[in-house]
Amino acid sequence: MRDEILIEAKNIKKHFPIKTGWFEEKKYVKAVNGISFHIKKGETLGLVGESGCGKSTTGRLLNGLIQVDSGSIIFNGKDLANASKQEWKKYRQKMQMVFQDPYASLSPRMKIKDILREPLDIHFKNMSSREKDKRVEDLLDKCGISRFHLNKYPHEFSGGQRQRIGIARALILQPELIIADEPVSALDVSIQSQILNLMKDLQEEYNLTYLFISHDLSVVEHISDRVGVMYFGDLVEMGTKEEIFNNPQHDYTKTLLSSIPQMIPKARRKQLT
Amino acid sequence: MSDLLQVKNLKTGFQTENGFLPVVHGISFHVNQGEIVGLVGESGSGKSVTSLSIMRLFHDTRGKIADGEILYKGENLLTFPEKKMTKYRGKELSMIFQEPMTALNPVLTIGKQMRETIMLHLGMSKKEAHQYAIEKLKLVGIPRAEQVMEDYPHQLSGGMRQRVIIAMQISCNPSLLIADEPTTALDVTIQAQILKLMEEIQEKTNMGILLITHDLGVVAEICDRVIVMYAGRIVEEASAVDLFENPKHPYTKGLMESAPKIGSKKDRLNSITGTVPNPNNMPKGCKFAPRCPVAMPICHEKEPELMADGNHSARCWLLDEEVKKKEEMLNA
Amino acid sequence: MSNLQTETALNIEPIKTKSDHRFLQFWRLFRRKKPAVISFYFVLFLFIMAIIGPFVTPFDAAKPDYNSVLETPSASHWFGTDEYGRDILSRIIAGARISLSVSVSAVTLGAIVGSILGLISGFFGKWVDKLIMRICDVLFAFPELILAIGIVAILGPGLNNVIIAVAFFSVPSFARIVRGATLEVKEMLFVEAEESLGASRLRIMFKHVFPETLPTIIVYYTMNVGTAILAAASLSFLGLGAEPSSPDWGAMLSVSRDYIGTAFHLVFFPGLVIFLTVLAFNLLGDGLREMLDPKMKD
Repeated sequence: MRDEILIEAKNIKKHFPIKTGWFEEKKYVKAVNGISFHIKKGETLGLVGESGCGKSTTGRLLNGLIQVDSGSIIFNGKDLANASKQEWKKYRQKMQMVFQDPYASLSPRMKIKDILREPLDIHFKNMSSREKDKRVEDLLDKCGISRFHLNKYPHEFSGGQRQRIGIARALILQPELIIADEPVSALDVSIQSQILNLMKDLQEEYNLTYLFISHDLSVVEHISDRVGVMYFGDLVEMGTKEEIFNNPQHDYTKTLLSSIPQMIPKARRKQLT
Repeated sequence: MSDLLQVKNLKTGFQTENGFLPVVHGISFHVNQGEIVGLVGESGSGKSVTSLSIMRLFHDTRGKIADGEILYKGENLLTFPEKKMTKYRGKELSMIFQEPMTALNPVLTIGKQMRETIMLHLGMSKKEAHQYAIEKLKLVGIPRAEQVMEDYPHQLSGGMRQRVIIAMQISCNPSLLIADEPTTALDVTIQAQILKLMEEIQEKTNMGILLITHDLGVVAEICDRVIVMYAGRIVEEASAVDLFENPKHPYTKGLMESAPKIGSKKDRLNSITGTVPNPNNMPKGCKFAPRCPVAMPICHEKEPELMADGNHSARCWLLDEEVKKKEEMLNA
Repeated sequence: MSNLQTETALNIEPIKTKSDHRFLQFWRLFRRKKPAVISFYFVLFLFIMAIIGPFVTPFDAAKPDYNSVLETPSASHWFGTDEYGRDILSRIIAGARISLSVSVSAVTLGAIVGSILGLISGFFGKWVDKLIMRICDVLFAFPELILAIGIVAILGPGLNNVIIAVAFFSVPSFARIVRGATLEVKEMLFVEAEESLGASRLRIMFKHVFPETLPTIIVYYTMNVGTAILAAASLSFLGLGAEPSSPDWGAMLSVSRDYIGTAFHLVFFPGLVIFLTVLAFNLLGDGLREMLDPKMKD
């Protein structure tokens, strides 16, 4: 089971045009510059890198929010490159996203109940209203939000609670893959750990596969099985968590690792050196 | 020990439609000459409001300083007329903000912005100010400083912009620098560079720095002394070494344990339950009691004072010998 | 998962606000904006008059009384009488129904068509957007009133055609403003989130983007009613709208301009009412914008 590949990206590429003058040569930002990787069923692949390295674009390419320029994405053995709109809709059911900003990713004028029912309304037109309600309530429970809050609006919740709702929304269609784009970056440290624990528990319970995108190496190290390091659109290093963190090969990975602040006070560090 | 900045019983809050809402509840602390002090807290702890209070940068919000004293070199900043305060800002006390883009004027070149501040505060001629600005840019490690003087803010990267801001803020040799989350918007590699830069500059100029951050890692990196805030109160204060090696307040402990550490084999993080209390609806006793793993009955009833043990103090009933004894007797 | 539940047991307390109902919160804030509140009551009063006016007028608005022609304001005729001895106050009250129904239906029509065009234009972009916006540009090139006169000239005079004309020239402005709002909302993260859930474009457009543009539409609608009242009155003044004998405010002005030197009150009161009504709608719109437009919130 653990060796079965769920999704594979083969040499995917995405260049965004930059606006230039009429007569100048067209220029492009090489957001994702032909990268390949795969994620096995049930594992967590962490994707780290600094701003502008293309890690978020990679997540959106997998999910089809942005179309690839070239290369192919194979999900459950099927190439998504030539998939029709209808087929994409089916795949979306199986791979869901969790976004960074829990304040902006929930529709502000909808009640929590409706936000969570929305995916079911889209994909399961025949499901009875009662069944939908039950699913919503069960999942909210799992994500640590009481069902008394079903009729509240997103602005009535704190950041951590909103991210729980965002996770519940992503899980309601019972997906196999969750693409989490910086899911804890906007949260306070104490809340961040709650969400990370929640994601781990949910992964165990539902046998989820995660693509965990983050700029924070310690968070990635904590949650991932394997890690990919991105730098200016390229995947410069890829390996198991132990390989990357204990024995980095690429210079950039080494710089990145040495930049993480350690929880060792300055005075002590000076004594050590 | 000369106190550069001394904050005494500062109470700050916001004027809302339901009356005055206190955010900072009578905090007292000091920053010495040549010392980097970290002010740590999560959102809602009141750490940023504290920094704005010191700079008195409140005029366009509903913020209001209700009580207390802010002594800078022995003078109470709160009694200054606005005009005098304006002269002090930038010259005596400087501030660096989280987002470097918003602190720069997008339509003026870096050179023009730097020259103006320098000419205003140091009374130099335009030519002198220009040379002086280049010197300062070089000091913060900006290559080709002459060219950067002609650049507009958007032409620089985030890290470069933050360096420019630092150059600008230290250009008038302030004695106190307040840095409010100066590296939060930056990438880790850039963060490491900026922190190192701040440390170097502090050593060169011997100014005092008040570093406000949510990140204990950043604090460990450069601070000498640390103040931990929670719900508008100081809950712990100690030297960096004492704080990291022997945290006394359960909140500080919780913060340290909830951050993932590289190399640890733990599958789950020890997180702090619940969320920061809403200012409208504060718990009665210790403000941390509802989230505290070791809360006792008294914690929900009465708020503890800041209890000092040498230079290490914490606001927790566990440090009170009498309470501890009673608790032990109850448990026995 | 038991540890998960205990861990989050404390997390379930939502942030409490003083009053739960959104409308009440809205009203509490709105109440502080004095000009807007006064305008709101004035507009409310006008609408009530438009509905019950005919039953409360002191005199019959249409019945001539040749014994009291061109009387100046007095205790019995507060606003005086016109050249046929008709009570001006009664005519103004009766006219409220005409003015309001014309302007409200014209703006409603214009808002519906314009908003849909703007929504489509902003949401789908590309050539659809270019086409719709170029058509709007062409319409904008005409001064509004000239455009309306042209339309009425083609369709013939009468209140129904005034409604069509006023609606027609409010379409492009609604289209443009809704397009702007749509472009802004379209970039918001929750729209992307909906897309990633598999929601169709039409669903996203109507269910998620449209509600976000609604505040803008409401504000603009309110202000436009004021403009429409003025436009309708102008058309009637020019003899292209309401029958000259009807108590329409513009028509009243038009008929009485011959008496401007001899009986000033004939022009003054209808003019004053038009002025106050337009002002009230504009102030109300301003107040609503401060409340609803997130960019203007402090």
